[in-house]
Amino acid sequence: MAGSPGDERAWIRGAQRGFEADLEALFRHHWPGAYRAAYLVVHDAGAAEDIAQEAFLAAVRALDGFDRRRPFGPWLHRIVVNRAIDWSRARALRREVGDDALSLTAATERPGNPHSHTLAAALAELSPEHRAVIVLRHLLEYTPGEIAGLLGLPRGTVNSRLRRGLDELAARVAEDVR
Amino acid sequence: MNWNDPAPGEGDAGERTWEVVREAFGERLPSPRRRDWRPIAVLVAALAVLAAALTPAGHAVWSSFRDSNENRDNLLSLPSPGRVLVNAQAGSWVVQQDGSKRFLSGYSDSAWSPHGLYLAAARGNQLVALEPNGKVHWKLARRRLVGGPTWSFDGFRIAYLSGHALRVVNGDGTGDRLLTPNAVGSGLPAFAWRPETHQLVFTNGRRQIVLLDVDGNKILWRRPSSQTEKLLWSDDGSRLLVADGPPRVLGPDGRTIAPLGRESVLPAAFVPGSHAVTLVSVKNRRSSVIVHSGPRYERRRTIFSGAGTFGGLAWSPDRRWLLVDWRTADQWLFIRSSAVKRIAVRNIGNVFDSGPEHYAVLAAWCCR
Repeated sequence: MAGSPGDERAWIRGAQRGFEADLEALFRHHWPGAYRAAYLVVHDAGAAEDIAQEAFLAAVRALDGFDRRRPFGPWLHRIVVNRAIDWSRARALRREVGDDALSLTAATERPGNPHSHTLAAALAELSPEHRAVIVLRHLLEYTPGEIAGLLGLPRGTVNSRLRRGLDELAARVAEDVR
Repeated sequence: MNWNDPAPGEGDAGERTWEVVREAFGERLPSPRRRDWRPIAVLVAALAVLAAALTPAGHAVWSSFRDSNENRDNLLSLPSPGRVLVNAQAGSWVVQQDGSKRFLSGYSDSAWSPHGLYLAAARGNQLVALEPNGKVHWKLARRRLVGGPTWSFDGFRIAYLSGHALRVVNGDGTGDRLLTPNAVGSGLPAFAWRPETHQLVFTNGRRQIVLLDVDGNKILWRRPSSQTEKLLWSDDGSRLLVADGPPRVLGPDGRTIAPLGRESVLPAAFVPGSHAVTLVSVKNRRSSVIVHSGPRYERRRTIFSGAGTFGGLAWSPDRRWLLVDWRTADQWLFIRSSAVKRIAVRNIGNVFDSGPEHYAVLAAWCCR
């Protein structure tokens, strides 16, 4: 599935006309990014599934009015990341489980990729706002200007969150590797 | 780091989600092709402005148009008396019966006082008591984030969280004191005032449910509990619903009267004026609103079922309507309790300006 901007416009056009195959192509192209972004912000598989699912359902509801000239990805990712930040903030206030349990879950569910264990655990220790900008920059490859637009933040704030988040992440990963 | 590695559960979650999305797509009605009316609308607007500027009659038309625009927010009239409180990302909303709304910017976790005359709300590290029109009566600053304020039956006490600590303050903002330093350690914080008393049931950090006489500072009973998420009293204070995984109903002495099945989860609500419980059960990605009733809760009646998740339940004060926040469909459903009658209000995210990015949380339907 190539997923060029032309393909995406064609899928949206087809889905707007009622073709399920086009909607499926659009879904399968964007699901991994949406789910991973949600997961890396919330660090909870069930919550990530709910958040990504609701973003796609919002897309289905908004399909008729969607402007095909606009890219679909940023629209979807804005929903996913903002909801993931909301969820993480709510959980921070009403903590359900400790960080140890989270990192244990990550470690048991991802065999064969020890480097990622360290990183996932380190990422989980950052604030949701820092996690979000790092995920948008490095997983979804948005520029800081685009991230500012997606999260409704000044560009300087995005840059400072990125810098601080990455510094903190590097320090935590280095500690774990040591 | 390899950002391209699949996240845990990604494949299975994708297949489950595709089924839900496909179903939603199948239920969607394709909209007819719309003609582009914009040039005509611009022309009509220009003529209207010109007429308003030049003639008295035009001026009257313009006033009428302006007035109708100022009242256009009446999207969500309630089918029964009372007011609904909604907590959204940017603040709290009070919805009147005629559908007009007032936005209280910056407040969270707002809760009605017993007769709906006041709200208690959190604003960062502050607990605030205010009127539904936004007039602040008092504020109390704490060192940690404030959350979950709840009024006692007479409005003389407010229990609330400050960080992980559970505290209580008098309804006039005086006499603030600590009840327990950790109400969060064993799961979500959960606490509820027993109706007609100053007894508060809450979870503590030692995986216990505790009933405390707040004024006498005397513990009435303790019961073990694992991951309690919600505590709710019936109106007469003789039944306590404990949701900690499988929910159960306790009697006034804390002993279990009946378990309520294995799959039921939040949200939940006692039917007003009765011991019957409304619960949401989730199975195969579908949610159902089920009323459990009878002496041992052996009778079960499903009153609504839909794909995805329900975010909240609220009974109308006159007990005739149940409001279901159908989050996945971005709808509120008003279900008539005595007969099968439904009113659906769509685009709830837009109604409360939460957009698709944030949730608006249904708090309560209060007071005639």
